[in-house]
Amino acid sequence: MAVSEWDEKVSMKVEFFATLLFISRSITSVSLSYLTSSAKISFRQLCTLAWTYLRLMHWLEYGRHGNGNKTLSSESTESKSSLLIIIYTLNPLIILPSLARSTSSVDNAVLLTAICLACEWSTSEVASPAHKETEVSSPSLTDKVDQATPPFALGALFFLALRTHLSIDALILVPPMFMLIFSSPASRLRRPGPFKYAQKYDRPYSFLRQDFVEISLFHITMDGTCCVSFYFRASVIPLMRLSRYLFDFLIQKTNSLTLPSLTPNPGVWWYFFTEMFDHFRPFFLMVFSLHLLLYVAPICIKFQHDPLYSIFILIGILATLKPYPTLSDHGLFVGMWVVMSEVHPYLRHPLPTLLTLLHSSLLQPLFAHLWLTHGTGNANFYYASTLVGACAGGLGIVDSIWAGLRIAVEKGRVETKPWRKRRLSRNNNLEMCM
Amino acid sequence: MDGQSGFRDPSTIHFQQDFIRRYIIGSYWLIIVLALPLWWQTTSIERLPLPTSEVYLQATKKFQLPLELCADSAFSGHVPAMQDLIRQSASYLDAKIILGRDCSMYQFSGYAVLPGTQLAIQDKTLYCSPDLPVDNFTSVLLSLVAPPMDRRAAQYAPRYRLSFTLLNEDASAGQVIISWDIQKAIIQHISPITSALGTLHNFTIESQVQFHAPLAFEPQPLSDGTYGLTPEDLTVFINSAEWTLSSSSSNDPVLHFVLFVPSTKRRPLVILNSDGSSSNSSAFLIPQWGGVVILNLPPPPPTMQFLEASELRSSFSTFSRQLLTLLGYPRLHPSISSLRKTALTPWQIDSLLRQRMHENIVRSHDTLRSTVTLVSQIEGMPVDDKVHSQVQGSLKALHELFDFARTHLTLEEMLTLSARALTLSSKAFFHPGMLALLYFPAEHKYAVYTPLFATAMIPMLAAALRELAAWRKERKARAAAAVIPEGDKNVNEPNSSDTAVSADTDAMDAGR
Repeated sequence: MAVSEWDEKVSMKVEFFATLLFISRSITSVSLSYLTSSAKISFRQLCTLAWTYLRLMHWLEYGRHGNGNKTLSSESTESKSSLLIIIYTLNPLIILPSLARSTSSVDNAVLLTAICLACEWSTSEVASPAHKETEVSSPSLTDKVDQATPPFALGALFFLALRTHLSIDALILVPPMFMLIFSSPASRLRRPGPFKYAQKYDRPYSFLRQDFVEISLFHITMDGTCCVSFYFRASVIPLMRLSRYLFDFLIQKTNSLTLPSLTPNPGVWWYFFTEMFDHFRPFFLMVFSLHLLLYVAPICIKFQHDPLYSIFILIGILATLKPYPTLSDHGLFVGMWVVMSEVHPYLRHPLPTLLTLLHSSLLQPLFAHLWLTHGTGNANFYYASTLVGACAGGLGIVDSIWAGLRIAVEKGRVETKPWRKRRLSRNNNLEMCM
Repeated sequence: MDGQSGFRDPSTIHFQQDFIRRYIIGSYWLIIVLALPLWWQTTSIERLPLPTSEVYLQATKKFQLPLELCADSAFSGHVPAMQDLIRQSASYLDAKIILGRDCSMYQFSGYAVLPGTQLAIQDKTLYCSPDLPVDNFTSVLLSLVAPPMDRRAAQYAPRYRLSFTLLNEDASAGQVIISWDIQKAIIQHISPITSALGTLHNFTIESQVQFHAPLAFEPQPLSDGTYGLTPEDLTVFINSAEWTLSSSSSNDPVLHFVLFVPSTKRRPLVILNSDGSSSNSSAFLIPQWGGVVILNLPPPPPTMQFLEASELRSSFSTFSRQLLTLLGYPRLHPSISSLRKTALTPWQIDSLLRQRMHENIVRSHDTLRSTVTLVSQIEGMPVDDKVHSQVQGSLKALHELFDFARTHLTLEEMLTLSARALTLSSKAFFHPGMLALLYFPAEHKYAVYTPLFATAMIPMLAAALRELAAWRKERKARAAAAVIPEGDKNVNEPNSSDTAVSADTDAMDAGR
């Protein structure tokens, strides 16, 4: 699906349409919230929507260039950004959590801010559109970039720490985020190679030592400020009790991994744990948590040339396998999928994946209503539709991994070929293992 | 615009290299290996060691409580028989009868038998005429000192709930009792008992009125228009399915007292003896559960009525007698009269205390022994620290109790210790965690693990084995190729041209 095929006229119409749609959706959500409850919540919701929208816009314009297409034209950027706006704002998986005033939209926004700041490695590089990624370090470049940590890196880590506080499962995104900070977000899927630091860091290891200390201090300060702000009202706390509160506060963050609530949700954990013996419960909690951690190292190793892609895949894994998933996790995955447009031609089965997701999304509320409200179905109906949703997530992840690896086998540029005429060669003995 | 697309050789792509693949497989296996000790720790059964030998030793000990009785010299003939008899009937009593001329100093602290005109008891003194025959004397004293335990009495518990219920069988059929003066009745009849026995039990009293309490059976109509309850009917009188007779606010055992008002259709309701004749009493006792009094109201009945305390007097005196039986209070021998007007004498209360203490100790020993035997026999039974601490606490209470001679405990303190030992040992035995793995054979564990892990491990094992085979082949090939160039170099040296040698080695390098 090549974006630059679109006409300029079409792209302008699309942008106008998208802006109109965004405004209308805000109006509908505002009116809905007036109908249901007080108005001040709708303001927060508007802020959330605006925030996510702005984050994505910002990120798209400054982050993900270099499609394999070295030259950037302003139209392709604009039409790509309008496509992104449409897909993100029209996505029901994003609209519904926002309408439900769920905090998962805030989770998404915080995560996107973190990724955006991590991508923002140097604004001077973006100013020249025909810039190529070369190994040459010009004197002007070294003048602009200082040897100390750019502030964006610490900002990215701050927001990642905030996201981890909101839900502990985002810990699996910490290693690829570090890799993203140290390298560039530009797509290098076509030219895989070993992980290398961006050229602004002349002496990477000394930088690592200095910044690692700063980054760790930042995490600790972040936790500390959270605790202190939480308890600042009781300002007469002696120091020892404060440290104990700190420890308890941090331990409470891991509470979701002990699965305290077995309320049915679109995830795969709750059913398994309702039917299991108590004796095996801590063991299986450990297994399921470790399952999330299992995929971090392989994906980061395999996609070490493109850490943003590994973040994308890990977001997909998080959406499918976390303890308490929400609709906006899948929505974020779909949104990021649009950004990685260079892999779209290489996906093997995007339509079945989308249809499975659609199938599951339509059946889940139906079966939940049948079981919980009517009382005629039982939990197996609902869990089966949830499993279909997990299957769709798995299909999406596997397909993305396939496409990300397959793109490296191509020599030359093929992004302009229309989708219909493509024949993916299956005669090659492509051993895409793992 | 069709780009010139060709394909690279996949083996030249960076992530297809062997070491990347091996790192990835290695990272999977590393996490699995790191998780193995976590698996062991999370699935192991916590079995803290219980003090088995201590429990067996404690269970063999017999409790001996000293009892001193001061008898006047007028009763010297009866004494030796008395001592043996007491020791026979109550093994836990170490009775010593002291003959003394003047028992007055024992009047405040011990038990005394003094001569008197008639058989009477006052506080802790028994007045008895010396002319009383030996048999009567021994039976009287035995009934006071070591009375047999009433089988109808409920088991000892440190806290009891007394639940008084007024049941209208059918309020819709006519007359209904809407309320009763329960407060005054309790103060008059029940409070003396509960305050006197306050050292034994902690009583909570609750009461309720119900307006529709149907019987589960039909009482048989008799010839004279009354309705009779046979003894078999009495056993199923309490309709536990439909009557809620006690609140579920706590786990304490309950003694129920039911005042039953039959409906107008089935009035009057009488209790029949086993031979079919109507009995005089309209109340019966259900052992270890409570008592029922049937209130037949006089005709013609007004529609709604409030029962005054005066009308409740006979019912509540019945209730108080039933309460005393249920609590195991020993009855006075019929020939003894009480000099004070209170129904409860300290002598009898002390006897009850001693009896309950003995019962508690026996039950604690049994429970602890059963717990320890069960844990040692069943390998899969977990023993967590709560059970462990409860067993230890029970043993400690028993040790303190058996040490009473040194620490000079009062009777009430000893009863408290025995109650605590009993409570802790019951809690340990009935702990819900102990039953968890009773029927959990090892095959079930395999059934739990296999579906998830066998299917997940198959591709991992296949990949690992494949990599291992490839690595071994590669090593062999490398070792074989390392031998060849030395051989070839020896062949080429007679040429002794540098270019030829370098060309050959280059060719061999390319071909490898």
